[in-house]
Amino acid sequence: MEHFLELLENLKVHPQSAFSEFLAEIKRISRSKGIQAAYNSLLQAEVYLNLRKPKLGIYDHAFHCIGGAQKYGLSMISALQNQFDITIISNKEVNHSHFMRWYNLDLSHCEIKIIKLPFYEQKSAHHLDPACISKDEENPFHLISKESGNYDIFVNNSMNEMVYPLSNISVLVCHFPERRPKTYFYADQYTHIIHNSLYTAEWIKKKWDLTPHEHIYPPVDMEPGIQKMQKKKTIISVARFEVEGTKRQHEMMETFLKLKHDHPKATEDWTFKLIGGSDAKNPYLQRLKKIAAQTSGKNIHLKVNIPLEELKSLYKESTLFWHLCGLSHSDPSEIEHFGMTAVEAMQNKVVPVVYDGGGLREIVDHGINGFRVKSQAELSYYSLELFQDEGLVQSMGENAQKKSQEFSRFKFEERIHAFFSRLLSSYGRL
Amino acid sequence: MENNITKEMEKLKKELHKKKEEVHDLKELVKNEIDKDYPSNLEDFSERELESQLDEYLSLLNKYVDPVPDKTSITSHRRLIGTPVVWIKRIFLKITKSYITHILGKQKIFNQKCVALYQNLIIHQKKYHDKISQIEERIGECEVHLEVIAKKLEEISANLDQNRADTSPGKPDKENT
Repeated sequence: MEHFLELLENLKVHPQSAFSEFLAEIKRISRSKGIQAAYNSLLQAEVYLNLRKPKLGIYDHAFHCIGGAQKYGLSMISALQNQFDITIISNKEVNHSHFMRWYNLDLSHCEIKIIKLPFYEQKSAHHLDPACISKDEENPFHLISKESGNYDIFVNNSMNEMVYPLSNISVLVCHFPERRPKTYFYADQYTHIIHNSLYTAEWIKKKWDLTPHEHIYPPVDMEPGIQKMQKKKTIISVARFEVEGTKRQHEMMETFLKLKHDHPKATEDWTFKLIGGSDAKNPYLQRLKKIAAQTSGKNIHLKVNIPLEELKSLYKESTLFWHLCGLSHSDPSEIEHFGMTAVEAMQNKVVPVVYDGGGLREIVDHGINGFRVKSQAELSYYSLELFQDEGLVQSMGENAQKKSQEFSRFKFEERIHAFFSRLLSSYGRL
Repeated sequence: MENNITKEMEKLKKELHKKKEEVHDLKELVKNEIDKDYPSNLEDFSERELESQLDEYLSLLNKYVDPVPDKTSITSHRRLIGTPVVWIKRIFLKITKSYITHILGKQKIFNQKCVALYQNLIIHQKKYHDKISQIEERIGECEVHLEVIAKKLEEISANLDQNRADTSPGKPDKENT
């Protein structure tokens, strides 16, 4: 590496005389390490000699769907648009206006490249599930692996370790290590691993026996603005209505109904609003709707696929935030890896009462800016305490908003810039 | 940077890119082995992972429950003599089929019973697991209720102490003083 950098330095100062030596070095690399290594050296030379901007490719097999992980990756490149020539690599059709609509991100300076994977196209699959690939099949993601070799930096933002990185610098953004090392596992081939929470880092070590390099919390931008917030006696839950019920909306409804039954006076004016996205056919959501209809006098409302503006105003007017994702889990991946919606609530002075596990432990400090609970009974207990003590709600709300500043978009962008500047400096572009 | 050198570099880049595109195998591209085996330590697995592993094993057991070979299982990797070798093997299988079936019949029954036994045990284990989860949940609820009761008792006790202190004989009567 040092020899190569010396050679590049020489090429910068005496281009004519050093060029033949440079060519010979590229040929030697090609013979000893393969064509990709030779190509990579040439890419590095171009950047080192300031012939062009560094190229960054970012891949996610779910860029065509709305999701927190995708927002993370796209927010990252939004912050890097001036430093790099960026290409967004997707497996399904998606365009700039989608990103604008879904995440309010203007990525018009980035190119979008669609690489369809025949394996999934034949199955007409909307969601590309890497878990369904067995050893008997050829790795369909090798098309992306090959593409990764065309960039100076390749960022894999998807929960998919089946992409073998070929670029000089490769970054795996790990939102959670879902699978254990098995067929076509290449997470250990990335030069850098970013993790979104300490909880994720802990499981990267446990499941993959790898130590991640950089901790960058996701960006959360649900700040209320300057208008005064008029709080109502409303509890909200904001989480996707998963078919498997892993977000535990049913258990929260049960808890609310029990509270209403056992403490009618204390809960008299309280309303529970369950907000989240869902596909059209969702048996779990149908079940929840049925319960809400059967208990119509109990103030339970379901709000499915609501626009961003409505969500913002609901955050502003709510007092408590409930989140039980992780309760009675059978796998660490079923616990919230970070918990973006809890931070969104806290930004709006909504006091969080959340499950005591996963990334939520890094967000909510028990008894200071909210409560962490282990059971439905504890959820009832602490909520009741808050129903009966306005002063406590007030002070915890203030503390929650203060804590939420640690996870702002500004902080995220600061960390992203620092990390990529370090990468570039090691690449030879100071 | 001089123009001709920039052009030379561009040309070289195009050449390498073209060569790179022609290579299909990633191993060849990086001149290295890229895949390896990973041993799995079942003791570290979560409940969900163990369940999916069980499903995987059960479907494999079901797949191979019948030890009697059928003719489609006979294949050959040899290019030229492969076809006659397969043909001869299949003839041999046809001739000996009744004998093989007789010998392996008991083995097949044993295999089937084993798979059924595994399935039975798994269902049993799942039922017990569910019961334990329910009990754990109830215990959790009881613990919280106990905490609430303890707090209420403390309050009652404090009130009683206060009342006792207020009505104790040594205390001066407010109305008389």
